[in-house]
Amino acid sequence: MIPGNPTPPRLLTIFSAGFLGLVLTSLATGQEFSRAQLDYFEGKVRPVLIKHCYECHSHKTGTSEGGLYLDTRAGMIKGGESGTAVVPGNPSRSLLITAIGYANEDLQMPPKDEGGKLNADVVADLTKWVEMGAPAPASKPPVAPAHDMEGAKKHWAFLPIVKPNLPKVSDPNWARNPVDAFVYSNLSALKLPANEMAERPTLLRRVTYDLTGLPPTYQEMQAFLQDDSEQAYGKVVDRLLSSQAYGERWGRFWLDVARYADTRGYRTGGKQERFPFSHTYRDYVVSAFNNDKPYDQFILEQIAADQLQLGDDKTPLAAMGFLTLGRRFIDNQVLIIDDRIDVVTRGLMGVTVTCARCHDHKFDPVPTADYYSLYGVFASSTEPSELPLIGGTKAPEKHRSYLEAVQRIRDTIERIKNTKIDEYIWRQREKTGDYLLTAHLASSLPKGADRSQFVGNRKLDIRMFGRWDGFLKNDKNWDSPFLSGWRAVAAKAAQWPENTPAVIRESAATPQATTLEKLVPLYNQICKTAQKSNSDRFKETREFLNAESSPTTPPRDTVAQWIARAIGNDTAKHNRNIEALNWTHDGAPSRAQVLVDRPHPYNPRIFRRGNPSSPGDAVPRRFLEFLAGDERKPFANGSGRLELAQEIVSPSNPLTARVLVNRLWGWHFGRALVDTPSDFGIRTAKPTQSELLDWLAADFVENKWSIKQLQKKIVTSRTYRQSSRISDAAFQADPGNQLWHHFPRQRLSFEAMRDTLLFLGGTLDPQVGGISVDITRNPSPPRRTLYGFIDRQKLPGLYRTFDFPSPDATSPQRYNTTVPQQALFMMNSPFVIAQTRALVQRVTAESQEAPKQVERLYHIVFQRSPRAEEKELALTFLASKPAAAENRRGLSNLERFAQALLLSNEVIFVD
Amino acid sequence: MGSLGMASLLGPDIAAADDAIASPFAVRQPHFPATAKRVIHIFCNGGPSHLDTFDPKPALNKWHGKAIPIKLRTERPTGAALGSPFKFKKYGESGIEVSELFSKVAESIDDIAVIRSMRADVPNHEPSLLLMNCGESRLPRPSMGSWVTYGLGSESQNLPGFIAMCPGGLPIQGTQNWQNAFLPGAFQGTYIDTKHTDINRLIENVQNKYTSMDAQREQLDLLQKLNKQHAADRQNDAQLESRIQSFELAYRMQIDATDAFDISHEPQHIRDMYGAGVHARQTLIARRLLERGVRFVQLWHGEGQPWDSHDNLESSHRRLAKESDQPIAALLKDLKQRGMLEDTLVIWGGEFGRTPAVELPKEGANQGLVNGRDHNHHGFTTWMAGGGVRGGYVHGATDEFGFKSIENVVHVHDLHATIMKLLGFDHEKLTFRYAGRDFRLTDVHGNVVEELIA
Repeated sequence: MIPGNPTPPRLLTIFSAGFLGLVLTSLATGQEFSRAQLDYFEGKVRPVLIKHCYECHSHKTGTSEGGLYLDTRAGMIKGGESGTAVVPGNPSRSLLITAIGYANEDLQMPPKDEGGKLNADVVADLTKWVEMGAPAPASKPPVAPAHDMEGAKKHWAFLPIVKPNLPKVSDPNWARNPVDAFVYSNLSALKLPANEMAERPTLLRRVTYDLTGLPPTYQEMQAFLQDDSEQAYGKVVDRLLSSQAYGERWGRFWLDVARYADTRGYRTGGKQERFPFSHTYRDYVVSAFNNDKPYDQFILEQIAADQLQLGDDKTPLAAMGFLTLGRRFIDNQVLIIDDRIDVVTRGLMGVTVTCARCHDHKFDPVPTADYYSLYGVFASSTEPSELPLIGGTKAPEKHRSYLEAVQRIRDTIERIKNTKIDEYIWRQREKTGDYLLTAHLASSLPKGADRSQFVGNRKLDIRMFGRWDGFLKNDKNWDSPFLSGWRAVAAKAAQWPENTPAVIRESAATPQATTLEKLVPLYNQICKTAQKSNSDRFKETREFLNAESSPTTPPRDTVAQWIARAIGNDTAKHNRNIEALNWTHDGAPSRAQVLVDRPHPYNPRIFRRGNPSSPGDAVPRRFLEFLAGDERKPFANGSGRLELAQEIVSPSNPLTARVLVNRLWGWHFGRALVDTPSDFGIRTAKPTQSELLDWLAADFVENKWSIKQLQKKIVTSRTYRQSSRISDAAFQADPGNQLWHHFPRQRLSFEAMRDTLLFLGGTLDPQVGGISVDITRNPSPPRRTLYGFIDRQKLPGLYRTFDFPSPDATSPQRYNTTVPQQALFMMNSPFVIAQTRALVQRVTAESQEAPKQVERLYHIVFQRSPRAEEKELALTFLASKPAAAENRRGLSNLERFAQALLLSNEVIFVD
Repeated sequence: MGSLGMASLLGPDIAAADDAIASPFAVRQPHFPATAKRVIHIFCNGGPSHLDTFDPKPALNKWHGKAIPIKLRTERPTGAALGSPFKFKKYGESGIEVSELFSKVAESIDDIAVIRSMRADVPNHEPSLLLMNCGESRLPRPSMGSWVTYGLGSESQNLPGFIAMCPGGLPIQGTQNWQNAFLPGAFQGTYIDTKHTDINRLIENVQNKYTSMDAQREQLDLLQKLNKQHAADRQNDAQLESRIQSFELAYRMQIDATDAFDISHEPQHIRDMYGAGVHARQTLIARRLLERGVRFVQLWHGEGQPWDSHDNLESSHRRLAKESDQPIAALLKDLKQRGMLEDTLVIWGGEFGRTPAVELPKEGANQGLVNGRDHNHHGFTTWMAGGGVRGGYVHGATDEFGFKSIENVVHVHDLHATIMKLLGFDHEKLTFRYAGRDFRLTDVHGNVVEELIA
């Protein structure tokens, strides 16, 4: 909420919905409280109680420390073991006030470790409230909506879909299409003259953009205008619905819901952020739309394609990118699963289930238990180490070359790893003297001293030290000739033992004549030299260092674990390169980013307050209670993912179809019928056009979940075909167009804008699908924007500037902001200049005469001819002498003119 | 298409009916009169040591080389006490002690509130960066600058309202540090790599390489004629006019933005004040941006995590402080002499501090030099100045060794709540409805630290 708005007491709305309005008197005492008094309680007192007291003193949390309940007035008056908590009208006798006053050392609340003393103004508020007579609503404790399953069932969106009868409409213009019947029956209440139909050029442009994300060509426009037949428009719709461009347009809408991106987000240690096969999901979505894959099947595949009988074509496995292509939160499993629950529940059913991760949902009938039932489904699923192939392998020689490239990098990694291990061992051996001395000193450390700190401060590795220490504690090991000199010095012996190697013996006349400290560099040095030398002088040293039982020969695998981070630092680049071969090597096969069930399903427990280290009650893997009904059964097969998907598309589930048809309406009209498309919960009011919504949803399911059939009904309706002009009367009667008295004018989305520029420049690359390309490069690859690489960690400014939704979570709808950076891109970017020049080349290739060029530009850009005054304006501009010092950097008058057309509102808005 | 206008986003009070699609940067009033109108957040990414800068601990030098009696979990193993190699001295009338590293900043200590009792949640960079910037360690949430521009708009229509500058590349966690998350894209911080001096490399598309400004003016005049004709037949639709206006703004932005980033317009004595080098330049640019009405500027020290001194703390902290002490000191004085300090909030700090105990060697993690400090989220220092902050004041304290905040602890959420208060917001009421609930910068936390407010 932005300031300036008189703020409704938020908590009041939250906790009192449904009962405060009804009960303004406290029935328990017969005492009446004014609205203002109750508002005071809800605004100043209840929030404090909720925040600081309810955790230990409330019915809802089921806890009552000292038998005290503070969530009802009666409970406060009754008090707990210490006596009455609140004496209405008398703060000094109210233990609650005493406790929060903190003056009495034996009675201080909230406890120090729970935040301690409340702010003075809060204490004053509560004191004043007791003075007022402790006004509070009914004795009934607030029922958490999550427990109010019966109440929730009455919420409009959770009711079963019943196909409404079509309203009777007398006006034959509005009676032909069911959509219109509903719209008109509401609209007629406004008593406005019916809006005119959109002019035919407008209509063709509108429906072409709407269904394909591209403008019509001038030829298509002419053909349509010349076709007077009744079926002209219907034919256009069919043509567009069956074009390749249709899936590229509508698939992108779905990718907003699926929070699609090509990267995992931030990772540590320079690991590869890019997903190897995200594009296979994108291509699957485009083709699902183009093939009008029934929506229920579309959902089943996106959640559980791995458990369906797919036959030979394994492409639908790619559908599971819906689950797997979310942000990876530095591999935090709890958050990854949360993201998957969110995209499934909010994306497909408009329920904000993830609100119930830490506590029961505050508004909707989703208890925490239900969240963890779904958590169990996803925690029982995992990504296989080898992703399944789709679409077979490439040509054998290319594939072989790919495998060889992988092997070459693997060999490099192995080599680096071995070198790092060798270096580590050598380095440690060169500290042999230090280890010996440190072990010697450590043996006389006081009990309980921190040995690892002691060792660390001496710049030694505690793990190697552990080996040395263990080794030296075994007396037998001291028999080694290599150590005999050390032992003699430690014992201050008069003579060198006979087996002491010469290199040590020569360091001093007798052991007594030297010290351990002096031996340290000597031992270090001879170990260093011995490793590189074959000389007999170092024979004993070499034998010691290389002996299997020696502390200086730690198992290589163990060392690899010790120095995993160092190895990781040096091999990260190569591991990244192995993954990169998936999108850089033309022999790399395509794969699907699937989930599969774990061999043993995970049995979820509720994480108290969302904290995985505080597991609570066990819950079965099963569907949401408020949707599954009384006969809810635990999922029986593996993770239960397929059963989950089946519950979502069950005809008895009222949300799935409602949510989708609402989204579709929004994507067609720029505004959905329910204006929170991903939240159909209790707080979402029934929309004005709820009957239309239900009719569309019922019809959609009856027609086997066919999206294209539904869309055809929508785009052939009169509602859709009316003009976007807004009469003053209509604007005054219904400025928000709630009743659809005109078709909303819409600005091109980022994708449609960029695609249009490529299309008009004649450079749009028709290639379908494939690996994502970086469209922010200069020159920008002329692919449709849908194929642009989406890096969720570094989403380019260009995307943000044009309201591309954050790919971090399922996106309900796009914002529509107007900022000067958009204009800067249009005016100055090399991309727009390049398209301008391409457009002008198209025109100059056909004619060198200015009038013809202008005519042609209008044909291409606006699909119409210029009016006389437009032509004149154009010719004047083209003939003008450029401003001083002009054009040395390149743009001709014709190019500047063409660019102005591309920048115009006529291009960027669709009537 | 499938779009949500600013009207429903900002509530009926902001969006008058004829202004259905408000400019995201239109100026908006906060909940109550604010003492701070704009913010500059100087971010020492990596975690500057409070023990060597603003939180003197004589005990640490006494215990140098000995094990201290406090052992808390940090990221890596730590050993004996590491006394600060830097000298502390009292400054100003307040007599607050500051180390030689920031001796120039310390000259303004009477304008600074030093919070010596900061606390974050974990000793790792990634979550702590997000916590400090977005109020949440792991999930995608809007950054402080996004919230502030969402709440206040921007005084400048010709420059982005929220700018994040970092020379040489991105800090750890990249653009997430200034993400808009579920807020509209316009509220994301605009990243600027101040390593560059060429304006075209600082702001995308800010200049046209193919047309002169005059010729472009003619072109835009033509465009506006076309747009006017187009609009004549399309009444009652504010979004058309809004887009028309955006071209005029953009045209002026080409001059204004270029000018804002060009410090050669500054007199020599001002440039001398800030000194030489990239930090001086970006700090001076920041002042120019603030002067032009940019709402929120974040200044990062550099790519990655420069202040992360696991090794060689003495030499690296000395170098880092040398790079930034003079520019920050100049900024404080310069803002003051322009009368801007009183309503400009300056924030200095990192994502956490560093341990009083020396970091012990670990293969691949440090160089085994045993002369640096590990991460410390238990206690660290952040300071604020200007914008209604109580100057010459020390808030809270860490324990005797500076390991943990123990007195008047200020959690990052509390810092955020206080910053929002200075900007005129009740942090619990600046909310945004998303995914079924009202989100805010402080989530369900945060207490305003009234003592920090003058």
